[in-house]
Amino acid sequence: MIRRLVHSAAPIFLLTACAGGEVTPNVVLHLAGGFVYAPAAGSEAAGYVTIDNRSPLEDTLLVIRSPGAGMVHLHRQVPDGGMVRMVPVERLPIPPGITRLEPGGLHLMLMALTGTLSPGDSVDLTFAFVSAGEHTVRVPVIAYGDAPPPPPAGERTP
Amino acid sequence: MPHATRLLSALISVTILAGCQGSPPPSQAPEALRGPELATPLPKPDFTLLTLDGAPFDFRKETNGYLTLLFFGYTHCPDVCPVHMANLGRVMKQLPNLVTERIKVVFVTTDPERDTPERLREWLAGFDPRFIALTGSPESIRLAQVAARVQPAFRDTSVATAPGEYLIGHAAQVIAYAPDNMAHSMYPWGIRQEDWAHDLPLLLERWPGTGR
Repeated sequence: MIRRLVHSAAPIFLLTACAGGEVTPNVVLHLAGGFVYAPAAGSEAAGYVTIDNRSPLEDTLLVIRSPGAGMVHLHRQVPDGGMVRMVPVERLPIPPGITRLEPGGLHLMLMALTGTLSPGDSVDLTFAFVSAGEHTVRVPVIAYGDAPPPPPAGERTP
Repeated sequence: MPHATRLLSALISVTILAGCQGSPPPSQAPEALRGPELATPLPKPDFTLLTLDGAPFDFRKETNGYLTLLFFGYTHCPDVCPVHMANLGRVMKQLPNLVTERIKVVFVTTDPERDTPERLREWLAGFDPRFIALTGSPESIRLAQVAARVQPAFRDTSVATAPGEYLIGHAAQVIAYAPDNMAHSMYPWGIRQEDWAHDLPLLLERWPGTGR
C-alpha cells in the first residue's frame, strides 16, 4: 500500500533503448485529482482523473482496469444543441499538457462492480498507456453533490 | 487601493443621495437570477404521466402554484442527471421549510424500459425523498418533452456498446417554473448549489403567483 502510493506519486519514466544504445526518457505522466462517484443506484459508477503529460510527446490511453469493477469503459459526453450525447471512446489521445476527465465531459464507467462503493471508500484505477505503460492511482469515492477533491498541492494548472 | 477608495466614495455618495429622497428608488431593477433568464417566459407544459405507484400525475394540476423544477433524465446517467439532483437535494436541505414547502422537484425518466419503478425510487430517494419521479410509455414521455419544449431524449443506437446496453442523448437543463406557472429561467449543466440557493427564494419572491 505504502509502496503503491509512493509509486503512483512518482513520475513514470519509461526508458526506451535506442538503436545506438542510448537511453532517453519517453513519456512522463502524472495522474492526480481522481475520484469515483458512489453509485446512486445499481452496479455502475462514474470515475474521473486528471492526466498531466509532462513530455513533448503524445501518448494514448488504451485500457482502464479496476479491481472494483468487471470492466471499465471510457465515454465522452458531447454537447449537441441543448442536449448531451454520449460517445464511447476506444483510444484516448493524451497530448502534452493536461487531459481532464471530469463531470459533463470525459468519464470512466466502472461496470459490473464487484462490491459496494460508498463515500469514504477508495478504489484503485489502473490506466494502461501505449508509451507510459501502466499507472495505478488510488482514488476516493465521494457522493454526488460533494465537491470533487482538489488536485494535490503543487500540481500544475493549465 | 485607490480603486477601492473610489468605489467606497462612490458608494457613500449614492447612499447620501438615496437618503435625500423621501422614498426608495421607484423603479429599482429586480435582483438578477444566476440561471439564464428567458427572453420570453415559457408556460408550464400540459402532460400527464405516471407516478411510481402507477397513478396518473397531471403535471399542471399537481404542481399548480408551486415553484416547480422539471428535469428529464435517466438513472444510468453518469453525472449530469445525478449531479443536478444531488445539488438540488443538498440545497433543499439547507433552505428553510417556508421555502421548500413551496417547491416541487419533478424528475421524468427518459429511459422507462431500464428505469423500473423500484430502481427510480431507490435512485431518486437518495437525493431527497420529497422529489417526485414520473414514468410512462416512451411515446407519452416524448410528448411531455415536446410540451416542455426540450429536445426529446433519444436512444443512441449508432454507437456500439455492450450487448443489451445503449447510450442516451438527453437535455441537460433543469427548467424552473415559478409559482405563476411560467418558466422565467433555465438551469443548464454547470449550475452550482450556491446558484440554486440564491435563485430558489428569489424565484418565489419575484413571481409569487396568485396562490394555490
